[in-house]
Amino acid sequence: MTFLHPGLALAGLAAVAIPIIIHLLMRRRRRPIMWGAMRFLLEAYRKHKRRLRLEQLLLLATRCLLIACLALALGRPILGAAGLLGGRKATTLYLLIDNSLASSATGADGRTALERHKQMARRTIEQLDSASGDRVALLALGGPAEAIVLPPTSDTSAVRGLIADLTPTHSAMDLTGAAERVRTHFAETEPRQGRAIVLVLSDFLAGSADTDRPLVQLTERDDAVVLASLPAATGVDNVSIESVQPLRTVMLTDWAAAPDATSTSSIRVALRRSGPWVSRAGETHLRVRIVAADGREAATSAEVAWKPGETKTTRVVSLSASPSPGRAVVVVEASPDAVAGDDVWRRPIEVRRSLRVAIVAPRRALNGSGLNPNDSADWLRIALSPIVIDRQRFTARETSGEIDVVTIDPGSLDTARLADLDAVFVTHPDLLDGGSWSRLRVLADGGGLIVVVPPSGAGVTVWTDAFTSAFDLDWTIGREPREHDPALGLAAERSVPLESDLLAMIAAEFQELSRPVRVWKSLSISGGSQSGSDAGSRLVELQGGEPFLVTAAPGGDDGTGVGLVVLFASSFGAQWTDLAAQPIFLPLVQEILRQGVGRASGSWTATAGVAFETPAGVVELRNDAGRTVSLAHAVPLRHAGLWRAVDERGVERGLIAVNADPAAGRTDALGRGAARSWLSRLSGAGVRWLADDDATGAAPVRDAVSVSEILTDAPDDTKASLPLLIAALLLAALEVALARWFSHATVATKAAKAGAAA
Amino acid sequence: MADETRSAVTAQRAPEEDATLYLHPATLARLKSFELRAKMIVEGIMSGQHRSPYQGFSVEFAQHRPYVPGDDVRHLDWKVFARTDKLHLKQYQQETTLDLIVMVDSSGSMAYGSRRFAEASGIGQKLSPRGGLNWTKFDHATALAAALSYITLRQGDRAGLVVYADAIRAMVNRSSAMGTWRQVVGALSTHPIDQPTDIGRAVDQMLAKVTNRCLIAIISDFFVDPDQIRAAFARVRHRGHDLIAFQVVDRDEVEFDFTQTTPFVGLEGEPMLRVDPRALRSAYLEAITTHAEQLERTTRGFGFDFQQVNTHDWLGPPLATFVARRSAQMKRGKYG
Repeated sequence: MTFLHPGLALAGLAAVAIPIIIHLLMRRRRRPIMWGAMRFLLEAYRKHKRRLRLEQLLLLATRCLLIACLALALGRPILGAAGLLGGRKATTLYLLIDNSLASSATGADGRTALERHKQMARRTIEQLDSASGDRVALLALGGPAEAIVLPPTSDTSAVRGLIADLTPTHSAMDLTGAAERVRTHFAETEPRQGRAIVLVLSDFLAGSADTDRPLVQLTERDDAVVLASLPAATGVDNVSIESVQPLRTVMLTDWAAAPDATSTSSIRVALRRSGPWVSRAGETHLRVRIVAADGREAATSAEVAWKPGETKTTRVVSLSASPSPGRAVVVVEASPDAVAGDDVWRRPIEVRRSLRVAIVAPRRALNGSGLNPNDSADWLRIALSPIVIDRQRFTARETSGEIDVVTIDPGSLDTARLADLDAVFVTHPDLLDGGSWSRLRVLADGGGLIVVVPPSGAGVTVWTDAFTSAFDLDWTIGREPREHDPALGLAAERSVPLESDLLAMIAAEFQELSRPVRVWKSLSISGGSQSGSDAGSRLVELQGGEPFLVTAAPGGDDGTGVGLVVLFASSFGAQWTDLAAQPIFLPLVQEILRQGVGRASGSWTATAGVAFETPAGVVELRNDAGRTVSLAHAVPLRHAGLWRAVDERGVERGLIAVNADPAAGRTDALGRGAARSWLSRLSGAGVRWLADDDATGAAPVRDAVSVSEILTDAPDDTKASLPLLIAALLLAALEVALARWFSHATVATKAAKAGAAA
Repeated sequence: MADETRSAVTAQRAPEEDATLYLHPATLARLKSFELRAKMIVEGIMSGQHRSPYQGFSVEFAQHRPYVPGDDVRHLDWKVFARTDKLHLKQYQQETTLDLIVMVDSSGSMAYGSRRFAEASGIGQKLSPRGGLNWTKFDHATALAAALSYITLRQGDRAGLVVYADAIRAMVNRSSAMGTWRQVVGALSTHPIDQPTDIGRAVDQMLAKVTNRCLIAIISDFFVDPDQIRAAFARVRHRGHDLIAFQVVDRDEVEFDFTQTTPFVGLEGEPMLRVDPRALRSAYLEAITTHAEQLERTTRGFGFDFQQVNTHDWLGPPLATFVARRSAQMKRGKYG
């Protein structure tokens, strides 16, 4: 037996103790009477002791039973599949309302789909009768699905208020998650009481109905009805920004040298359009802005022309800006359309005056500018700063505009020297001890770039174990270099996606530039991802498929999702390869540095409704509207916006842009057939379309059914509260009679009258 | 200093002075009328009061006393009349000794009382000499005993007192001197003890000290086993004494009109009993009524008198009953 108001029932049952407590309290309150004629009282008591006890027990039992009956009646019990006082079976309505991004699509009538869903939900709830035991649960489908009211409640007015407060999210519909919640609820509350109606209110546009995600069957009970609103017959025109990718995630501006200098950024914008207008040509206006931390912004516009049938396009927009150093945000806005939520995309970028790079290499025996062709460090200095100026005796410091290069001896690689570096090139890893590797790991976890080049000398490599262990990499690096005879060239084709490629800027020239490169020796590297990903990828391969340049993010339990490790398979020495002497070397190193630092510091973009990683030490997120989300209760954010990641000391650790789920913005009509096929998994009995009782002028749907029909179709059943109330009334009358009888008030009155007459 | 000494003396009043509180002014006022009534009875009806059972064998002159209507004119001392012009009777030894022994029960059950002392005492004093707020059955019994002794002594008879519970606690030997009354009152200035009544033992102890025939007035609630009472009365009867049983009860005890469930604690060590009085009322009343009826039957079965006295009533009726019944019995020649 379950209750509509279990709390009330429990409280009432607890009240059964009241008569007992009163009885005990009354026993304590009375002062004893010192009685002289005790022998007669004892004599009378001995004669009637059993009767008195029986009377007291009967009276107490009656009173307790009376309160228990009242409590149970107030708790509104549901017996079996029974209803209550009403004339039909109790019904539990599970309202699953689509408030995903697609539900914000404005229709021809000027109303959004969500507004129509809310109106339908309110009308449906009004048909419920709380007095009959009807209850309602509410789940919002904007991913991830949110159980707003579950378990169901009989307080329909409160649910109506919650429905009115629903707003569209920027995430995709999560019907799968909602179905899981309802199914779990069903399983936990079995055997359920009364009839269950699961009503899914959505337009089932392509962005809402992710048919690739199979649904789960809610229950095997045959009295659970699954209803769904009719899918939209036609879609609505919409353009979604699918991605915004600055080709450089780190902008370098040397303000000290030229305060008015500007940097040009190239931003790649991917768009998708959906809806009926796909068959026609169209135009979309783009506005691209870079908003600096100080509020200054630079903007440009671009037009995108759509050809008939074209659904996706990419546009690279160049924008000159002079943002102040710090964090900036690239904001791309598309011209307004039916769905406003996916018309804006935000992407944080880093703005630096310069990059600070260290080359970890031993101090050269002779001070001078001569090049040792077998020393990778010398080649790197040239590549990073073509003009070399010695400023210190022991740690040579070179300055070349946007890149500051320092050389650190492997033996003096301490935390202080690593403190403010963006990248470290290790050309003599064999000279580093375990502590040095650990300090480099700390630098990587803080968003640093670590580039490792094998030492030029021949022999067995033992440093690789400490290296892979320090960065928790699953690479297996050969102990001895493998010699290639004849020498191998670099593979012209690369399978790494452009979005995650450090070499995107030279991708077009890479094939031409890499052609003269020859490699005579290289370390074998295996393990890690074979394709491009944030976790690890092969940037460049040798002819034959062996990796030549690989990247990975530090792993292990301490991995924070930031930092980047780059490993060359060959030293830059002349005995290994002529790469350093080829024209590709300088752009290759420069791109690895500039793009790698951006990648290592983390891009910090997220998709609404999808879980994401945050910088290390972050405990909460704050937005400009004053809203705060604690990561202790981390849930995917459902709404787009900029969030400041704050650590426990209140220090900002990064900027996270949450953007609308581009997949959720597809507004093509799914069609009844596809929708029914997808939804049919929810119930073994299939899904029935919901007929709109108030719809006027609309063509009737053949197999549609209204909620009112289902409700009136429910047969009457056993009522539980009414018998309990009647029983309580009878018990109350019995209690009065017993109390009067057992108290002998009548006898006393008669005796008093008799005494008075005498 | 002198004031302090006076205050201390005032605080330590003599017991007999405190005992006068037991005599309601109304009762004392009534006493005069009883005396007058007695005189009227003696003068008008009981001519030659207290006819001695030993008349004819011993006519030893004892004293003169004033004539009251009803006295046998044969005993008028005409010589005295001739000298003083007043009528006096010649009294003889046996004729003047109506020995009254008042036995007052001081067991624990006598400590109950529902009447306010201030209202019962009639003198505005709120607390009894024992500090109680209520006018107990023992208070009522002592007042009755004092009144009986007073009447007896005022008639020139001898009066004695026995205070008992499980045994005799105090005793005043019989005497006709008016100072005896003060001794009686002093002996009554005690309090009930937490002991049950052993009337048989008390009567036996009393009878052991009495040789001549007496009128024994037992003032008690008689909340004891009826067989014990019967045995005691039988011994009294066997010794040729007369007896009046005054059963002192409180109104609560005979009405038992409590309405709330209350714990009752026995005054004689009985266990506490928490009951709903309304539920037990009829059974209780039946028990106590049966006991009273049985007591009366037993008493009258031996030819004794029985009178129930309620603490909420004034002492007039029992005193009147006492005098009237004694007079009637005297008329029947009980002592003749």
